[in-house]
Amino acid sequence: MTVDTIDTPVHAGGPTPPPTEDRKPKRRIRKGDFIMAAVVIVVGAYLLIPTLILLVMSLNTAPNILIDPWQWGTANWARVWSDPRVGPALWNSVSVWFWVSVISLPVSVGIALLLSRTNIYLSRALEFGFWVAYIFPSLAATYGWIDLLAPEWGFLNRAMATLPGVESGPFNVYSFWGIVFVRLMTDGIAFFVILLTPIFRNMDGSLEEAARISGMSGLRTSLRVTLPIMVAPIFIVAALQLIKFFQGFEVEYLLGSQFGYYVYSTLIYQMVYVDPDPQYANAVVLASITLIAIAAIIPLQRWIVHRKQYTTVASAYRASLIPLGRLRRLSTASVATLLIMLTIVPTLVVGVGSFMVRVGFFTTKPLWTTDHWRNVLSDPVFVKALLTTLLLAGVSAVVSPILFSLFAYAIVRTRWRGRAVLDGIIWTSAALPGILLGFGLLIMFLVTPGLKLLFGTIWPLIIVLIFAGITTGTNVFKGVLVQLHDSLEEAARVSGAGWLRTYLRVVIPILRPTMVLVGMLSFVHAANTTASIILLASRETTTLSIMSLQLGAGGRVEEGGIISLIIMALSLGLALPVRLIANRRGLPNDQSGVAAPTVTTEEQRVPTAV
Amino acid sequence: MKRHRSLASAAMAVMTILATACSAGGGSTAAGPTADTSALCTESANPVPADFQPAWSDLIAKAKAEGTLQIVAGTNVKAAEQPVWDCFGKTFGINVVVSTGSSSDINSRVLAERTQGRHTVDVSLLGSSGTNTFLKANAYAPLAPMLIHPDITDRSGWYLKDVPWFDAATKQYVTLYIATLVPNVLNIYYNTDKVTQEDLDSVQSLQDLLDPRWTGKIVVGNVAAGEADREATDAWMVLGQSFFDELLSKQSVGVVPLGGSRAYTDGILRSQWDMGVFGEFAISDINAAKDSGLPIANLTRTLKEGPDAAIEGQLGVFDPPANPAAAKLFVNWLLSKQGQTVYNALLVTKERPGSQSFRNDVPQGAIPDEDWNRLRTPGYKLTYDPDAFARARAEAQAYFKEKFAELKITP
Repeated sequence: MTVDTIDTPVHAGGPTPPPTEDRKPKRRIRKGDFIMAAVVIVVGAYLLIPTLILLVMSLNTAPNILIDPWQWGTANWARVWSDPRVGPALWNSVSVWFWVSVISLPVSVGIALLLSRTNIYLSRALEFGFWVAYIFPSLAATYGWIDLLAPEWGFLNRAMATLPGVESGPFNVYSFWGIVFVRLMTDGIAFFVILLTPIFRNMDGSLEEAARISGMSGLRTSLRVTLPIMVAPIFIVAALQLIKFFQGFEVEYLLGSQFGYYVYSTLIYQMVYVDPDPQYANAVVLASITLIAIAAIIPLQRWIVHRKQYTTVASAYRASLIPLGRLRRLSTASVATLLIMLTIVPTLVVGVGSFMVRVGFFTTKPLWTTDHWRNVLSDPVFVKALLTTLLLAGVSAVVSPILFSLFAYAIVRTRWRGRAVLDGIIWTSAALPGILLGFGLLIMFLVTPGLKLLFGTIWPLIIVLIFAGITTGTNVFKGVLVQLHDSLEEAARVSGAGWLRTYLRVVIPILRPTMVLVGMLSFVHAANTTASIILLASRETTTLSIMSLQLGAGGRVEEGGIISLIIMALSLGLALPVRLIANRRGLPNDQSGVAAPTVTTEEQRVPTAV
Repeated sequence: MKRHRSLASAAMAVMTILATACSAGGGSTAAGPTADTSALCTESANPVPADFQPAWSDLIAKAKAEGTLQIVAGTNVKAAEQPVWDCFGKTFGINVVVSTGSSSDINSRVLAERTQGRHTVDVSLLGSSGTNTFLKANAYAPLAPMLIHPDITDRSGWYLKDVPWFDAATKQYVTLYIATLVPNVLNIYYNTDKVTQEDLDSVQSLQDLLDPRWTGKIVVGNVAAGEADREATDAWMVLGQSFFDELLSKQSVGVVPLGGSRAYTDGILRSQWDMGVFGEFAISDINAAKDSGLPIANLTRTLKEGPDAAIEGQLGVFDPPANPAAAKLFVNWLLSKQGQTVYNALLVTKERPGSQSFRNDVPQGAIPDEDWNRLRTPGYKLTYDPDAFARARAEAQAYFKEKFAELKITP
């Protein structure tokens, strides 16, 4: 077995350190440097100007920062703490994230190990199931668990109440633990699993073989060999989860707003959209605090990935599976049960609830109705929202992977100056919550000549959604590209190809499955997102997700649930077949040896995420 | 919503009953438009005096050329009045585009646009909170010069002899166009399974809500955050601080989040609370629950404090409007005899109980008899004092904010 070692973590995920060549004095300026400068300026302007606008606005002490003459000072930063919701909201944000992470990380690592490194039954089908779970709209899952666990009227609570000696069901989805649970059931676990499983699967099995030959048990091998090797990708995935958490909104809003529980993102929304007097100043200060919080992630992540060399993938790599023995059936059943809870249960519940006159109330006369479906489908706003969503998701799915792969390629595989800056900008952009990015962009679109004309049209939404997954998308591509051996590009360049030709003819074919992955993530995100576009969307450009959220928050949970089911159908009905087809088409290239030495077997058709 | 509350005497309830019995009007009791009202939505149904016809025709032509009217409206307003706006669009062949949502959401978007000189909306039909925000931002154009229709300038067709203005200080930007007359100053919703007839009979006055029977059993909308603004102001004017001191301090009231109509209704339905007040924001959901046979109802009997009347419905035109002629045509049409006829005919009355036009020359349309007759009770005089209402509103808002914070009343 031939083993080509690659220094995987050198650039994996985090900001790229300047290569040795960069430190050489008097390096001549290359064409690529100008390209990188242009990219940095464009991406930086898009991502940082809204941030700067918000930071500047946080120092605007006018009573209404949009109306009154601007006055400058730091009073907002002091005043924000007088809002009794701010402190608890920040603490709540940390608490929810902590518990979601503490629970989801070990569970997900365990599931990923089961799927990738053991002989569990139906591993591919189960892994695909987690894809479905991740694509499953969080809105639909949230509505489903509301219908199940709402105090008193939730289906599960009502069922429990029929048991002897039980007066009322014990569950309350409108609680801290309700939020944690629904976060886990929406994307807390699935997100980890779909990113970690390919990584674990791509790990060189010879390492584990060597461990076992040395007398280690399967469990000990996992703990002492597999996991230590995977520390960097696990951490990076956890960091992505943290970022995703900062961008999270719908679950916390739909549940927390019902019992006055705010995390920072829902409080920002509350301040800007719901409070009788919009409190932009407080909102931008709160956002600035999150910027500081996220700033701590970058050096920490860099420290972890650089503190040690991790050798993982080999050219002639082959996977070896740990036998589960008697636990094989139990493990399969456990994972399958979890998948059913993540997907099928909420779908059925929301589906059934959508035909009830009032979900959870079994004494209505009549009990069943199609009125909610008729109301939704006959609403002209729904038709517009559907078309808008399809347009936004489609464009985002096509453009985002192309753009992010170029960014990742430039960061990881070139020596252009400014790579670290671009990487830093992309990571930093994740700090900006969608809701404030939307607000910052609103102002940016209005004040920038040229962009001003775009306001109120579909274009701002397209731009926002294309860039929305820039951190995750670019880092996913970086994770693949760092495993790409230099010899491939060297061969291309020796043959006279420039970087662009090399990228198109060598890199793209290898990246194709990953591009499909990122395209699907973009599609799903565009179909589901609310926070980043809600201020930019007009009545003419509202999306299904915004419509669903507004209906649900306005008390029309049945109709909100129906739209979430339609979003789910869009995501699963369009995104997954495309992914399957694209993967199938990507296979010949993978098998042709073009991608050697890193991509040589069918096992690696599944994209390496980080 | 700015309004003047005009409490009739205790005898008014009796007179209302008498008037109902003696009413000559053959109005329906429908909760919404049921008759064929398509004939109302034509230009021929809008005759104007000959001397006004050229100006009116010119305005219609300009509005048609613009082709669109952009309305921003509160969710409840839209639920109640969408058929009226549709009728306007059908009458003049104008595409009516309605943007709805929370007041804050609308305020944020429109003000952000205006800051940069973009003007995309025409007419504002929001609650008092959202309207006040726009007023403070000088977002409205003076409306008084736009009111050119003889049906408006000639006040003989109105119960109020002066145009009622929401903006008490300036009296020129936002007018009011509907009257709401309800049985009590506080609308009471209750769980019919939990509240017995004996319980109901024991409530003869709103002060009876302070009885220990109701401790921990009452839910309120989040008045500290601006919910049920009109109702809260009216109640403040009638019941005074002492009532609310006791209600909030001793009765352990529950509160739902701002806009939490489902939480409010479900809380009553599943007996978390037996009774609710300050719930006008949840009226659509309460109606839906009631219509589907669930155990919720509202108290229709008038209590000791008497019935309540309000002038409300904030109507303003943005400065400048995106479609100036369409905006001007809309406000003149809506306040004309024809527009108010359409209002009474097409209003979804269950979404806005007790509301009707306060013109005296329009038919009953879909307005329920009891509401129609309240305004026409012999001896009853509709009045409106914007200054008094504005003062009371400010006092009530400050009080509720402070009291909720002091008692840590949170959803």
